[in-house]
Amino acid sequence: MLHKFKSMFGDVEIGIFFQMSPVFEMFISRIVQALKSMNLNVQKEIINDIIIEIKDFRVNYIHSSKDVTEVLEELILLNQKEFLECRIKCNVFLKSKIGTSLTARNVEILYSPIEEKKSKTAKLLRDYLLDIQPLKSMTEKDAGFVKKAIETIFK
Amino acid sequence: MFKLFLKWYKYYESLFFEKEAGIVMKNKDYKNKNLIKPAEEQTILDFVEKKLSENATIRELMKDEYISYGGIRDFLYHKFCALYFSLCPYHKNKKDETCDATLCWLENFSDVFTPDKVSDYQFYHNLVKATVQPSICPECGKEELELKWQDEGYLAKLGLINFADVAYLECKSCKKRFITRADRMAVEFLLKVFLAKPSKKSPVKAGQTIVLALDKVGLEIFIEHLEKEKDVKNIWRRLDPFLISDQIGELDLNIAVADFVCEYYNIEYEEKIETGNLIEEFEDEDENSSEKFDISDLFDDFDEK
Repeated sequence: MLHKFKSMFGDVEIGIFFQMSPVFEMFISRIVQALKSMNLNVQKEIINDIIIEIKDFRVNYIHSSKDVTEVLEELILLNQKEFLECRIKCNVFLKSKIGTSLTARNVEILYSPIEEKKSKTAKLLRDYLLDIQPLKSMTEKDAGFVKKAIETIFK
Repeated sequence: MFKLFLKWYKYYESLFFEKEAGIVMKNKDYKNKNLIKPAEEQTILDFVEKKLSENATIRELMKDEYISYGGIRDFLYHKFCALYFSLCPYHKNKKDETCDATLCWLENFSDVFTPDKVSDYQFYHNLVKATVQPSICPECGKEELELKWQDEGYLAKLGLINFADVAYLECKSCKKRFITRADRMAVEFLLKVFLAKPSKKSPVKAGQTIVLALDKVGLEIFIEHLEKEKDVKNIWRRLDPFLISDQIGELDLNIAVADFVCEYYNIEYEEKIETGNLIEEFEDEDENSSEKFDISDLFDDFDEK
């Protein structure tokens, strides 16, 4: 699961680090937003340490409920990332700069790479392309087949 | 930039074990530090934490939470805002979108308030209102009840004992008043104690004023506990643990309840607070903890006793 998470969010080193990829920073912002929506006083600026425990990681095409988690790597290889959306369930332990801490369990985060770009044109284009996307229907129909096909082509 | 860990859950599942949320008293990290801060350096958060450190209401509220917190300071900081305790540094009446509780909490208390300007009734108002019964009017079923305090004279018609700091709820539509459950229990119990054995040694005497605790949840737990007690002398001792009611001319249950709450939740204060080289000791402690930084350290607070 962490492997899949990494293919979406880039290589996240386990341990302490001070430089995060912008994508990952986005993920942290999402967590902060989720905590805020639970009526908690949390700001990105107050965080000192954060431990995120990924409990569940699911991927599907936007506007679709069919799970394509199994073929995530293959889809990324085929430049499908922008059409995907992931649902991440995680436990979050957070320690603030003044030493207070909290643990929230089963925080749900919805993340889609393109939603972050805020460009209306990009979203319109995505929605348009999504409808005529042959890979989408093929993957949703038979993920195993897509996987196999990719393996045959690339290996 | 902050430090961040991302862990694969199998390894760390044990860290997130389900525990009974709440009651964690071992916040030696910062608790004592805040309690000994000179008044002029206190933040609003320090002030509220100190005031509620022996309060059962906030602890019971914390227990009901879905999120776990390291302690009441953490709970206050992340869940409440200073306005809840009538301590908004901007003197607002309502929260709005410009509010940032994480900053307000850290405002210097003495810059904004003088301790005697904050009335206890205002301070405890929301906390008491959120926890007392009844929550709907038993007469007309309406939900809008207003919390009011009667500082003196309630039940004075009994002619024997005067009860102060009684909280009651007034229905906004039918105007009926109801004494809160905790206060009713306390009044009934104290009258029983008085009638069972009138004595000079009893802290409950004719003509006495009894101040009911502002911590109504604590009061309720306290009275429930006393009801199980068979020996009236033990009850007297509990009601007046420091034997000062004669000297101060009233029986202040705030003292008795706070004393009981400490025992009930196992709140301990480290005695070295009194010593001079305290700051150094804390600094040492901090160094040690950063040296052998280990994730499990972060979960110290969750260790079950």
